Amino acid sequence: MPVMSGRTTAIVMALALVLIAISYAGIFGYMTLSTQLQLLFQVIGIAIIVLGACCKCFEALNKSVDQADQS
Amino acid sequence: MHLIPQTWAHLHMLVSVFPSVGLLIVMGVYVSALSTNNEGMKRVCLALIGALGVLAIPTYISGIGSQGQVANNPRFSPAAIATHLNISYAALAALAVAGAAALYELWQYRSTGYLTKLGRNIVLGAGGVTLVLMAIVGELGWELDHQELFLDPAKQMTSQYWSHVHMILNHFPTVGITLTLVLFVSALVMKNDGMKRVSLTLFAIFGILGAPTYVTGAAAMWALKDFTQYGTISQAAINAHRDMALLSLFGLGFTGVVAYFELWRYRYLKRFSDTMLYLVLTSAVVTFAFMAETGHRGGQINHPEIRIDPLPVDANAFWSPHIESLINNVIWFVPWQTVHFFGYSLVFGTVLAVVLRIFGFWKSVPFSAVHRLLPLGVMGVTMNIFTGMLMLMADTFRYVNEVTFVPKMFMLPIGAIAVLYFSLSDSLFQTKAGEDAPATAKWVAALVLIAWTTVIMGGRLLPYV
Repeated sequence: MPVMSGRTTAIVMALALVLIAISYAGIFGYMTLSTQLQLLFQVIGIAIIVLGACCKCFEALNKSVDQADQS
Repeated sequence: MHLIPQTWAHLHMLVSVFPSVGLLIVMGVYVSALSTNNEGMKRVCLALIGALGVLAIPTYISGIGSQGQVANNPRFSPAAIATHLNISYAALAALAVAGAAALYELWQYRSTGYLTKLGRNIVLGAGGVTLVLMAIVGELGWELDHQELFLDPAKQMTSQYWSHVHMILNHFPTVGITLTLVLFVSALVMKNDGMKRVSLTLFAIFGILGAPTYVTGAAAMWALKDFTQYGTISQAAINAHRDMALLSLFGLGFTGVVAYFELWRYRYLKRFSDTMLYLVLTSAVVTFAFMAETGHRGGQINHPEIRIDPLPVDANAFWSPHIESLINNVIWFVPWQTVHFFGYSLVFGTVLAVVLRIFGFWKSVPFSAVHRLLPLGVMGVTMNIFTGMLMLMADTFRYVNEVTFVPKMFMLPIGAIAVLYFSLSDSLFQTKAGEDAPATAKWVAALVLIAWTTVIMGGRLLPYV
């Protein structure tokens, strides 16, 4: 079993994308958002996606090695 | 089709890098084949050395052709050309000896079934002499056309050392990826695992070298910009080169990372995954195409004698200036800077844990267990190559002229390449719980720790020193 299921991963990633979308909406003038919030939402969104991708990749690599060990 | 040389000078520039940089790479692989006693890899290396020996002919002919072509061009000094040519005769003769010995070795192998020590010694000796002579010839050749290297350093805002290093360094990923592709395809055809490992290691090394090559290129742009007398150098041509260089950098990075992951997995599985190997192959082929175009565009910048097509004129018709102006804004800069810091945390955390085990501070776990952490560090390096290049583009001129940027960029490839040792050394991987790591591993670990500490400190001190 993965640490985080595919469904949970998709939800977390979707939330990160929503944060980035809100930030971009503020940057491009589609909604009113202070610069601090634009930055904060973008930083959190990008960090979740990048670090989340690293974690999943790390999990997949180690799992492939574990499975071979067991077989 | 514009990549096909249409003048002697163009052909000479293309072909001459193989007997010098190419021979250095192939000789390195040959020494590796000798030390691991891998017969298949030895034969492939001998075939490559033989092919490089044959390249002595077009290198010589195109050199003579170029001499005639630029004879009336005031940009070139006849005395400097004569010196370059005279030493190149000796270099090409040594190369021909190495190539002939390599081909003879292969020919006699067909009847005897073994390679001789005499042949090996001749190839190593003549190859070594060729490399020394080629280094001199190459330097003299670069100095023929790159007069900016001789400008008064006191009048320069950005050092010409950057241009000089870029001229040398850029040939390693370019020629390296070409020769590694040949080696890798041979390994796949021959089903030779040792050769596959060497090829993957080389892909990882050239992926790492992509970063300093890109950085020195960005610095070289500023070194040329300082001089208005270079009327023949066009910013639009530089931007065209930079766009393609960015694609090459990411192509090299992706190929290197996938290659490393497969090397890492091999440690545990003792076999390669075909899917991963073909992913590396596909990525390397695409990267090779990017690199060919990057090299072509780079050659156009400061070599008016090879230009056939008119140079681009609109400096804003490319992505690089637009990325620069965007990333210079705090709203786009800060998120990637944050990712850059996460990357460093991953790199240093991983490196420290692995190094502590090697030094003996954490003997209760076998090295193979600590080795499992290494992909996290590689992911950190990948994040930092991407974000570092974006940050560099925000203010290239300031970064490349900062004092601490030089040690940072010098130690980055050293630290990253040294980490590969942790996944390549058999004796280190077999270090069990309670056992001491081999002495060589401890020296490499010290180098890795010093390198990454310098990289991080060099980066952090950039705005202050």
